[in-house]
Amino acid sequence: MYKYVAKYFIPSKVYKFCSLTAMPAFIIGMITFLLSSYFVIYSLPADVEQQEIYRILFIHVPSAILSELIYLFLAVNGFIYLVWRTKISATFLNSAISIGLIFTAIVLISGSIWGKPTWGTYWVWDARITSTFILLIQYVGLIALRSSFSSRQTTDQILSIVSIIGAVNIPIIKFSVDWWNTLHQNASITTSGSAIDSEMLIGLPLMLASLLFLSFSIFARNIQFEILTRTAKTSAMKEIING
Amino acid sequence: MIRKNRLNKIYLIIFFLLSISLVTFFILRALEKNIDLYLTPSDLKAVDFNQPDDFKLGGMVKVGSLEKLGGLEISFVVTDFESEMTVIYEGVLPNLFKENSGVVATGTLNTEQNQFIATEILAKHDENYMPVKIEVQN
Repeated sequence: MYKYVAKYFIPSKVYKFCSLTAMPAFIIGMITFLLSSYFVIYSLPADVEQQEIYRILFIHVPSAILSELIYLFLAVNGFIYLVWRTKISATFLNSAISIGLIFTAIVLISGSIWGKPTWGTYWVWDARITSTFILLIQYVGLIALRSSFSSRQTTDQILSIVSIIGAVNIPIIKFSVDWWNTLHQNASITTSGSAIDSEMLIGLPLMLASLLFLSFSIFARNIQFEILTRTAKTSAMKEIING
Repeated sequence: MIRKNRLNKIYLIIFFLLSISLVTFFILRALEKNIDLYLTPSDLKAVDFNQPDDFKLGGMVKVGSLEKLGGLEISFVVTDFESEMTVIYEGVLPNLFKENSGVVATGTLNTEQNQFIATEILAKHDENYMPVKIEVQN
């Protein structure tokens, strides 16, 4: 299986793919983001309990999903790098950290803004919020580690190990509201259905898709940057750079 | 086919991850009561309950228990559907504070009068979202 997958993940091919898709993904992402923002702000009905303020949900929840998924992505790439020594997964790992950090920051900030009018406080040290804050520190730590070693190989190995260890936090974030008493409410969307009315639910996949496109475009540019700093001297890359 | 040395590495990482998870599990188990944001009225009724300092009490505001005592002072009953506790509070309330809805109160227990004197009230809302107009039709 390795040889069938590996031939698509040669740095020069990934670089070409990224330079082709980054801009279209950004444009699609921007358009869907603006359209779905308009849709969730003006078209969707207000909530019975929370009135208009519930609309923060449409930026809060997709960012939360992405911040956790990106961390899992880091851990999976770290795992692949440690086992197969594939440089491209180290590239992916390095490129995704900053995006995860952005989304974790968005989750905490939007949650704070949402918390003041509904709960009555910006911040409370309950299990969900604390574990998400730990996730933010994990991302910051990974970014600090990136520039802490002189050898790129050491950096990649340490990043892989740390991201695998940190993945333990992801199920804790997910299940914190079930395991402990928290101020944060339980999950609205579970295997038994959605507690968000179907009329309002439609905004969520729209925002999630637009944020996915946007984060992919940033991710693609980060990958290009990583590949350039790593392998700009190889003949395949020189060919691409020089046209 | 996965080569032998790679397979060993996979086992090593899985073993590593499992031990980390186990350590985390035991730490969280040991801290279980400290991670909980609030105590329930049932916890207060427990025989070995002893908490002289400020703590948080959480539960549902019992239907029909919310009373105005004059000024900004209110009293209500927090219930977890097993035990109940009367809460006295004076101050500004969050928007979502109402009967039959979640609440987390910070304060101290007055054991003589069996009341909880709150200094801060936070509203805990549920995970349900319903459009306004459905409510209007009902």
